[in-house]
Amino acid sequence: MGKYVTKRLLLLIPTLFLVCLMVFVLMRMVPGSAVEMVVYNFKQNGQVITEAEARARLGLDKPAVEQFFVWIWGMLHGDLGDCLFRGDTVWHVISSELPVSLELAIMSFIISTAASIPLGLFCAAHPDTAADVAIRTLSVIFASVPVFWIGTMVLVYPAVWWGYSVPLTFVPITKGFVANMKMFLVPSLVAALTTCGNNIRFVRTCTLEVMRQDYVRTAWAKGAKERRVMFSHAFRNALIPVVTMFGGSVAGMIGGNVVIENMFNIPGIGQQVVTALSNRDYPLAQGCTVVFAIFVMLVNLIVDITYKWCDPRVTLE
Amino acid sequence: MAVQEGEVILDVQNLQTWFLSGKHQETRLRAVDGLSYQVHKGEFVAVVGESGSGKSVSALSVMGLVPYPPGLIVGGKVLFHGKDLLQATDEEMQAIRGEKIAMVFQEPSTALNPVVTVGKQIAEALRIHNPGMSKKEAMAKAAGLLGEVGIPNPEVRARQYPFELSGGMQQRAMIAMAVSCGPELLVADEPTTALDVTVQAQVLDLLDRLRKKLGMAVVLITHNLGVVARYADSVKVVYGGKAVETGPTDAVFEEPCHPYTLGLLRAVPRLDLPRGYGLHPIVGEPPDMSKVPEESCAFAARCRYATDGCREGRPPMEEVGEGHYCACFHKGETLEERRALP
Repeated sequence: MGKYVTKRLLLLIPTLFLVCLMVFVLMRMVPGSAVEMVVYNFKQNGQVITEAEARARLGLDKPAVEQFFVWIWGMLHGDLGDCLFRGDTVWHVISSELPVSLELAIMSFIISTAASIPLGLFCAAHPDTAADVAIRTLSVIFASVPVFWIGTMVLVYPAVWWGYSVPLTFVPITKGFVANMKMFLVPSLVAALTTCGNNIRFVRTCTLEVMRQDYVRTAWAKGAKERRVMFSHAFRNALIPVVTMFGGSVAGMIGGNVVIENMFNIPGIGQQVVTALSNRDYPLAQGCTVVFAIFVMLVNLIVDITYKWCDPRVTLE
Repeated sequence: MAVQEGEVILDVQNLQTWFLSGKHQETRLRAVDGLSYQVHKGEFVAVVGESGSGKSVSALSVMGLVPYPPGLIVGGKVLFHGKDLLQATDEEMQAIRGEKIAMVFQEPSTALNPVVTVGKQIAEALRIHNPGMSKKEAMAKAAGLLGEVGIPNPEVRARQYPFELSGGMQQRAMIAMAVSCGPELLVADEPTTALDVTVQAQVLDLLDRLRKKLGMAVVLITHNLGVVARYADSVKVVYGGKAVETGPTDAVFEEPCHPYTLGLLRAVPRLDLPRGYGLHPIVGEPPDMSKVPEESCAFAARCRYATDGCREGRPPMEEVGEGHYCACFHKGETLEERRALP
């Protein structure tokens, strides 16, 4: 087990190098460049700067290969570079905004899991009943409605009906736990709703697939009650695909909640990436992408280790 | 073996289990079609029939485990100590299953939960019916049961997963789970079909030993007549979802009155006859029970004695000897044929 984890962690290194290379190349292939942005910004402020000067300021006058290795060398020393437009280091931006996005991702994951597993199991236990059809219909609706629509409804209608407005002033969790939770609850719920729709259906399908297995019948033959049969026998055997799916949805949430972060005024990393990309802020965009890549790889590692716990027949090697 | 004197614990009366399919459930496959039989206290009963004769479905019907849809019990009674299990609520059935009536299935490799240790699965059965029992106590008892069914190193095995056990050991573990709460009736649905021949005998010996020790009745569903002759007190021969001949094992084997029973007996390979004697299969295939007319003998299509009377009316069960019943219009001819055989 320890050996397996070490091996997987070591494998992260070459993968990460490839990710860095791809990000670096792709960023530079995007039409438009940071140089034009700098020249434009200076012009807005009534100053004049030549392209060559701007290029030198950004460190883009050196050959691309050299730039790449300067970037990698810096990262190996814990220096992700400076943002081109914010007057801040990339590391500082990521370290202050990634936890905010993580909090949103974790909260919505917990809500979504806590809702989708019991509901999915309920549907699997009573397939094609009115309740099952109702839950499934709602799932499809929530999975297909765009998140900005749900977000807008949630922001507008409670205010109209009950005079309640969702708190939109950001309070870091370290400054005030209760205020922070109040702020995060609604956006987490909105994010959870959209993943929940898919997850409920997935839990239902996976569980239904094992419901007709012989060991489930054995559990009934023992005299087990429905809840025990569903949870300890059916669902326990449906866990592997479910864990895979849930892991994937967590990995996607970390940079994928841009719309929600934007609507609910949450200073998360998702929003930062979008800005960095549209400004062609190479160091910031590259840094964020690498951090996302590490996050996705770690989630996958955790998912793989969880397999062993889900099914003793799995061997990790 | 004499006719059983003991109290009747299970009385299946005219059981009908159908499988409904089609858009408006218009296709009705009568898997069990008016099956009746009785099981006495401590008796070893064999239910014999070929694949598709409805013997497994009848066992699942008794347990209330017929998968719906498509299976549906449409008629009859399953009286257990006089109480009709078909009318029992879910809670009542949950209390009976595992505690009073337990079941052993055909494929031990799929019937055990692959992701739970064997010991825990047995302990679970114990704790369901003994809510006061602690986990530790249940695990200790589970290991004891594994030892009792002849698994070496029971403490170690109890902590292993089913895939770490051989097929024979899995079935032993399954039996340990079934007898854990001391049931009055054990339904074993072809428990040895998936096992090696050498292991088959061990498992059946184990079942018989446990039956005597615990005083439980065993209903063994099988198509192996050799097994029946060796262990069973009485035999129910099932064809097309109903019993066609029932009675004490000796009587049914010596004086079969139904052409199907005779066919089964003739299909058994025999070492005591000359080499040229050959095998005598029953011609044809098991009937499609959605097509056989309700009012006819289901075996008529394959029966050498079949007459128009067989195709137009269902022969009633009639007593032909002490405790020996047969449903056939041509009992005499069959018995004569039997007597003419070596």
